[in-house]
Amino acid sequence: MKLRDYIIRRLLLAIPVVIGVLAITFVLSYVVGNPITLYTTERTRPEAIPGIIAEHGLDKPIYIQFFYYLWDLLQGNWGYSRTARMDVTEAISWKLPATIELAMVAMVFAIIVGIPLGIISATRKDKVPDHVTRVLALAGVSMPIFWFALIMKYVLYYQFFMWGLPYLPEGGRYSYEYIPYTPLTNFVLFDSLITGNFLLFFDALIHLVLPGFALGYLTLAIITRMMRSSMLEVLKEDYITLARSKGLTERVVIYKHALRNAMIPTVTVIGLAFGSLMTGAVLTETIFSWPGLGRWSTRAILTSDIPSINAFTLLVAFIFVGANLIVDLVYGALDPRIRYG
Amino acid sequence: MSDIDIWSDTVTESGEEEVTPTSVTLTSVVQVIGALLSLAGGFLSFSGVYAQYLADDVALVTVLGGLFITLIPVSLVSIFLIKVAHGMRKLETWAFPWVIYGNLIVTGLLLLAGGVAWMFSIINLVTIVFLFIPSVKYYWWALFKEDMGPRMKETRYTAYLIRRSPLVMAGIIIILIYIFMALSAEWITPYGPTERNWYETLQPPSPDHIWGTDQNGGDVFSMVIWATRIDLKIAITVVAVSLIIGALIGAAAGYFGGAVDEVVMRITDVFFAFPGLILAMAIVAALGERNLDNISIALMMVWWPTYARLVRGQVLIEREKLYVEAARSVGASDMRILITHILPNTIQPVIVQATLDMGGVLLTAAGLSFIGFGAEAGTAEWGWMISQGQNHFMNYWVTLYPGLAILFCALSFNLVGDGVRDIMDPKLRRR
Repeated sequence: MKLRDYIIRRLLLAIPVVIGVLAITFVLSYVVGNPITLYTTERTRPEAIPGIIAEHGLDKPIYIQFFYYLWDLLQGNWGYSRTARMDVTEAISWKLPATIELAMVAMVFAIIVGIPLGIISATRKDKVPDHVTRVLALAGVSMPIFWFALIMKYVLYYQFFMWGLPYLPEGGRYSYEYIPYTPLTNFVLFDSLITGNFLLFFDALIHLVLPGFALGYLTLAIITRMMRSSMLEVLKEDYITLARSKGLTERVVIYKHALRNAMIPTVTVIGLAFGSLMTGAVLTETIFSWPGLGRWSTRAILTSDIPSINAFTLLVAFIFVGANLIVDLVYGALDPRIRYG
Repeated sequence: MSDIDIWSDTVTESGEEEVTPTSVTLTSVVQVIGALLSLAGGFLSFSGVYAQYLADDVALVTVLGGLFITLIPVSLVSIFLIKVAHGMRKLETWAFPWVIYGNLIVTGLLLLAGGVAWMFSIINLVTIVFLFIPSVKYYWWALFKEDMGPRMKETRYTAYLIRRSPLVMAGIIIILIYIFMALSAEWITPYGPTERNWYETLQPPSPDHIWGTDQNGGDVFSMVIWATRIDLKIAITVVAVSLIIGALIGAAAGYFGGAVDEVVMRITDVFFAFPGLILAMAIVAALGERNLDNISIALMMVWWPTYARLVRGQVLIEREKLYVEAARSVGASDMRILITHILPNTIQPVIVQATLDMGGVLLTAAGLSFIGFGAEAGTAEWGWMISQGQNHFMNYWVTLYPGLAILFCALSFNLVGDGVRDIMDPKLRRR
């Protein structure tokens, strides 16, 4: 009953945010600057311009134009992307899977490595493993990931190649020169597993190592820091002392009693890290020529391709809002002590 | 505490006229002149900025920056200072420490504004010197010391903890080194920021070019050092402006509550729905031109909600406390309670957040420059330098050194922020 109210309230709270997001993208892309340039080229005759203005409703008041904009979005009429040379919706269906795949791999890597690192760091506080982990985490937070990606590419691709060692590929999703691939869902890993094409699967996996690591390192650092501090907090609680005084082994105390409660703030951070992954994708994809949203949006902004920029900003904002929503709901389910409201 | 009873010395029961200490009246006259002059300085420098905007094609951010840095705060503080000078003539002791604070703030703002404004700042400093003349100091120092006793003790303890923490000290030292590099770039670099040797492109590190040269023959070492100036300037202005805007909006939202609070919080929700870099990208795209000013504007628009939220939360905690109730019961106005009572008590977490954000702003600004917004081609700026190295990543030195510069700069801010947060944390603070 109470949980249901909480969910409903949380969903209602998301509505003004969504409207605000739409308003901001609308303002940024259609009000700032001259919107007529979207529909004209240097070869448009001057006498055609009033007709274009009337056709697209540019002579209407701004709030009416905002409703036109909403109507177009709902109809799936997101405009034509000059950068991708196709409709924006089609471009998204091509490029979103690539970015999601990359972000997922980075996320899985960050979670699998980050949580144990955080636990080790907290349980061996002020010992050597703790110091090493903290330095690694702090470096991850302070490092420009595009620089980290370039340096890794230099060492693991170029230098390993020069030294005659097995080297990692420099970019792309798979070796398209050697391996044929017809996209089904455009998630290469998923498709290759379904069709049983293990050669492609491993090839794609190897291509994911560098970008995935570069992208995941920041998230890894954030998760490790959060896990460490929340674990330290929880280990001070009375029920941990009780569990220890009952004579339970340290392993049971940490993994059974402490971990569950220490996970709660970490789950929040994992959800919020989606935003940093999207940001990171913009920076990483350009370096590893990854055919995803990030590279597309960068090119779009550099060439002032308004519909693409708009679509990308909207999409990322919606992913982010959705992630936050899910985090809040999970939070409510994980921690019954939370007063819904 | 004090052996001087200042009230019996100066103001007797029968009235103020009996004892008229001339040096205090002199100080208050100087103080009035100083406040008026600094007001004039603020207006002058702002109108200078605005005239420049009309004359040349200066970006709007310069004007807004001039407004925020000089005109608004200088006017507020100066008007307050005149009131303080009036209090000094009647020998109200609260006026004396405020002269120091106010004049220091005005001096700092005017120095920041540059131009002719710095000339006006000298008179404010003269007032402070006046206050420390022994015959004037006599009237206020003892009470000031007694008043500030507990706070000074707390500050001294914090300073002691900071000195004892090696990580925070390391961070502070690195920051100081960066500031030194930024200020003395002319003298410690062998080449200028835009100097190019076209016949020495992509040279590996050598005695001539200790960090090698880039693809245009620019000396990487010199450019990294020169870039300190630009990048630190961006980080400081972005954090300062978004802090001021965010703090004011957040404080108003938290203090007044109700509809104001609700509206402000929904607006910050919207801004939080975008990852920082991506909103900044969209704003830069919308602003059209790609230059450092537009990056700064975009980053300010991205960062203010953080402070608005933080300050609002703090104000919500503070406004329920007893001292606010006390201030209200003696008839202090909302504005006064908010600015002189609540805001100073919310400042600690804000400072910590600002320190941490310096690193974040640096990284985001460098990221924006890297993907091609921001610095015009050829500017010595870390992000732009790395983006140049992208095409020559086999020549590692082009990329490596600017990146290390960013890394250590952001790292030092993170070290200081983290360490100070732990020190300030009442839960972790042992006495």
